[in-house]
Amino acid sequence: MTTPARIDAAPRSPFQLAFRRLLLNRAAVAGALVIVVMCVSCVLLPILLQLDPNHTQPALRNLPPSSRFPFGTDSVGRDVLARVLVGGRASLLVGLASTAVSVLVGVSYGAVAGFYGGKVDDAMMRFVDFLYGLPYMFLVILIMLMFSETARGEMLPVFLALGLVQWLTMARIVRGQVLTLRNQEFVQAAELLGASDLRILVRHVLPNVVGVIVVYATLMVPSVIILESFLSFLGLGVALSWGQLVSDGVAVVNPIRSYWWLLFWPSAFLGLTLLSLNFIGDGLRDALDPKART
Amino acid sequence: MSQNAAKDALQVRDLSVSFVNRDRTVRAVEGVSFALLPGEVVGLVGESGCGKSVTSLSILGLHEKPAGRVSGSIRLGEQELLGLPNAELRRVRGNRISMIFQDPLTSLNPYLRVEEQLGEVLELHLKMTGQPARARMLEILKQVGIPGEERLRAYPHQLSGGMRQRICIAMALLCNPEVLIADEPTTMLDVTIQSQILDLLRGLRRARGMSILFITHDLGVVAELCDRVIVMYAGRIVEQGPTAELLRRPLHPYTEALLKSTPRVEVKGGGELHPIAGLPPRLSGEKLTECAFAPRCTRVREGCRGAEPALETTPDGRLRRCVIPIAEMLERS
Amino acid sequence: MIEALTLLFGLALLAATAWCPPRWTRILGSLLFGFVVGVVVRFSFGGAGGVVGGLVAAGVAFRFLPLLVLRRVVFLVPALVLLIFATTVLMYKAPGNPFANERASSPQVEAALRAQYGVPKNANQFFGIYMRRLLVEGTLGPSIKVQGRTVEQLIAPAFPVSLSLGLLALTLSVIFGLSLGVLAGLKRNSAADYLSMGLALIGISLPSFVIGATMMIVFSLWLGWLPVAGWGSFKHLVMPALALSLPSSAVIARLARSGIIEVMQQDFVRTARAKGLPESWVIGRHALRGAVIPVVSYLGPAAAAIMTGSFVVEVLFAIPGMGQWFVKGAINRDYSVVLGTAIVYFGMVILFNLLVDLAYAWLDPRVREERA
Repeated sequence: MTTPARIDAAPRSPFQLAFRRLLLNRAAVAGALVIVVMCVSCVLLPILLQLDPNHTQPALRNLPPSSRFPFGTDSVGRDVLARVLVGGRASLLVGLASTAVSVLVGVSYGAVAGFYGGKVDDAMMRFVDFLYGLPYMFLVILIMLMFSETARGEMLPVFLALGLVQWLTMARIVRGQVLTLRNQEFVQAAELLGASDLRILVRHVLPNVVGVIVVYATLMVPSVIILESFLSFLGLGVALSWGQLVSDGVAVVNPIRSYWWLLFWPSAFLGLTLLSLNFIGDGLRDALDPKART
Repeated sequence: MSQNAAKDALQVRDLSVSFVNRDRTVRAVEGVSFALLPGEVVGLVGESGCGKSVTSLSILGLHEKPAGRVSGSIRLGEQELLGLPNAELRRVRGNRISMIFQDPLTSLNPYLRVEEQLGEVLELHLKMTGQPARARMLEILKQVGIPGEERLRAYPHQLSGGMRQRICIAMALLCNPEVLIADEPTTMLDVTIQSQILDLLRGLRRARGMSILFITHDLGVVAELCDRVIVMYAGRIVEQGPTAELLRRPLHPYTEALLKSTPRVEVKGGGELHPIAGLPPRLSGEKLTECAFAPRCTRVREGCRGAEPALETTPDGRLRRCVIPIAEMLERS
Repeated sequence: MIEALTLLFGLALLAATAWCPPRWTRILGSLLFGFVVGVVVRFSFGGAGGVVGGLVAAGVAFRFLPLLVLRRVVFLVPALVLLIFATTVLMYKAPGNPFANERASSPQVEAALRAQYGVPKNANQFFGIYMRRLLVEGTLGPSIKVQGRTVEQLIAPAFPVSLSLGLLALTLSVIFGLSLGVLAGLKRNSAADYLSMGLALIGISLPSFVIGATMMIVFSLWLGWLPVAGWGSFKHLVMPALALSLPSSAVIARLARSGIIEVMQQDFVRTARAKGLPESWVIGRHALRGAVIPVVSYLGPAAAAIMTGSFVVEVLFAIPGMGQWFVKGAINRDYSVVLGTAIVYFGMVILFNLLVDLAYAWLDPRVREERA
């Protein structure tokens, strides 16, 4: 007579299990909430409150925060609150779009390299290794300068340029995952059944890589936003973004009046958003691979 | 317990180890007592999770920290080891009691050469460096069957599995320990290498008068090497006795089942395998209300429930924790 | 069109280096290595010095460098050339050219200027002229915008500035990052751990110029401890180096932390304890290496990140480094200056990555087996 150990009755997919683990991570949940609130505020509040980031009122310039201007005004009298919120739209959008570009390019490249392996993989990864060590901002700056006259302050070139910078990490990671999966038996089984390479890649391999892609994509968004802020600082970024606002704030720092609110608010929003994204990314990573949890 | 306790090389009395994991307590070892005579090889047998590894690790204080509770007594000759401050305990480790582990590849530091890893021990315990240290290393290596200087400069990944385990054994012997604890040292090696290592250990024991506590789940190895066997189940000792006797006439249903489940070459083709059905219990620390093995025992009966059987000594000096009469156990099917 | 083809051809060539057999790799790698060293030495020691230096370097490489490194050299040197080419193409594609705003220039004046500076209308041709000038005459060319100066004359004083700033920042990030990370990992889930990792998170959540600007406000304007900007003394180095190093510190701290935690769970650490080693030996002699290795792998990208950050930090703190030359050159379409700074930056990065590879091989003996 044996008393069997209790068996869990309801089977759960790995994704569901991961999701539950994620929900237990308070930092990640808090981060997610912050991001949602941030996105909603940046998109809706300016419309609801009828805020105009470009309305200059020189008579009201450089005012510290008050009830009328909760974030103060800048050097030409614009409402800093409005500028921060509207600027947020650009920064967040840049983050998302550039990451999307990176993911697209990186996943394709990495999947091909990992799937075919051998010399093909060798050659492709050599290339990636090389690019990895470059100060890519160099080339990004050049690219931005290329467009500076025709499309100054426009977003598309920024998306592309920044996206092309980040795809390397994604390619590396996807390639590693695909390489491992490639040799698993279920892939070999599919091959034996006569499935085409593309089909195997898309239906069997990629679903297992999705988790990792999501984790790293989430962690990529903050770096892209920071890179955009670098570009803005050098005068090459999007016309109105957090990076630009911070850069403007830094420019007016002087020993007599610090105009701290011009620097503080955009920095705070920027930092808070990035912190939240990092929490979410870390949380996702822990949730998807608890053995790697440290 | 042996007759003359003062002559024991190692004496473990009433050892209990529990771990606290978030909100659960796990009693890995419960009231374990045994002794090793000088020069004796004692086998510690049981399935995974029975507590044999934890027992052996606790002797040197190497168990997982933070530990829940460790109670009882562990004496090395005259010295009490349990509760000893770390600084003192470190002087015993690798020096008077050495330990070797299961996987020789991961047990050695892949980034350091053999001579560096061996040299550390000599430098630390015997204050030996330079030429005399090197001489001693070479001498020990010869004793474990690795002649020649080239191996000293090698990295672990450049050596074969058998050689690595010999290096681990050599490392354990450098300071002439009184006791060697071997935690499944042959499990990861293939059978031919396995027998070489066992031969080596046999020879060493004889030459040095060193006691060996040999932990394994493989009864075949036990039969080859050990003088005495201790069988553990669910953190407790369930049987103990001289090897030949115990293997031929087991006095506990668990030992019996273990023996039956070992596949034998002599059995004609078509014989069934006899696994032990079920899983070992989860030990959460409450007192047992029945024999730990009862759920899986083929000979279970009324008397097995109600309270946990006590460990008793048999007339011929063996130990067993079972209410089934000896005579009944001896009339085997 | 031709440029695109050339680029593709170059890329294919680079990919093909993967198929180079070991014997050829050693020969080719040593030659290329020597060649590059020769070109560099030539800047300081003239033609003869260049030849001697090059030959010596080639010999040393052939005899002593591990195959791993030579394989990298075979790939990287052509890659560097390709990069220079790509940069040239990009510059040419950008609107405007160096001579566009020079007094109302007639076509003849422009043609004359172009001939004088060696800047034809075609990117390929320019590249040819430029490389010839570099390899044969040993000069980076005249600056188009700054009269009467060669690019090396302009960059030479700026180079040590950027180099010292960058090296200091890198050193700081390794020191801070490693210590903080290892400490956090050893005392997992303690207050020290949470505090360190919290700091690390902040380090990667704020751009370096924000950190720099904040430091400026606090330490210069409010407290007056350090000079606001500029260059010249040790005090001028502090804030820029710190600002530059913080993001990398943070990443290194996180890497070191997970590295040490993973190592401490390895069997050989248990063996070390079983041998009776004091905890300091266990960590110092056995565990630390495992934590350091992931950090060393990251050093290449760390250097790149610091270089990237240096553009911004140099501008913020008004530091006369190479960043300003690059940006000015790019805006003014001074092709020679841009290429000159590009070569120096890329060259530094490649050199650094090679050093990191060597360090990695030294740290992990399993990698050294490649020494054919």
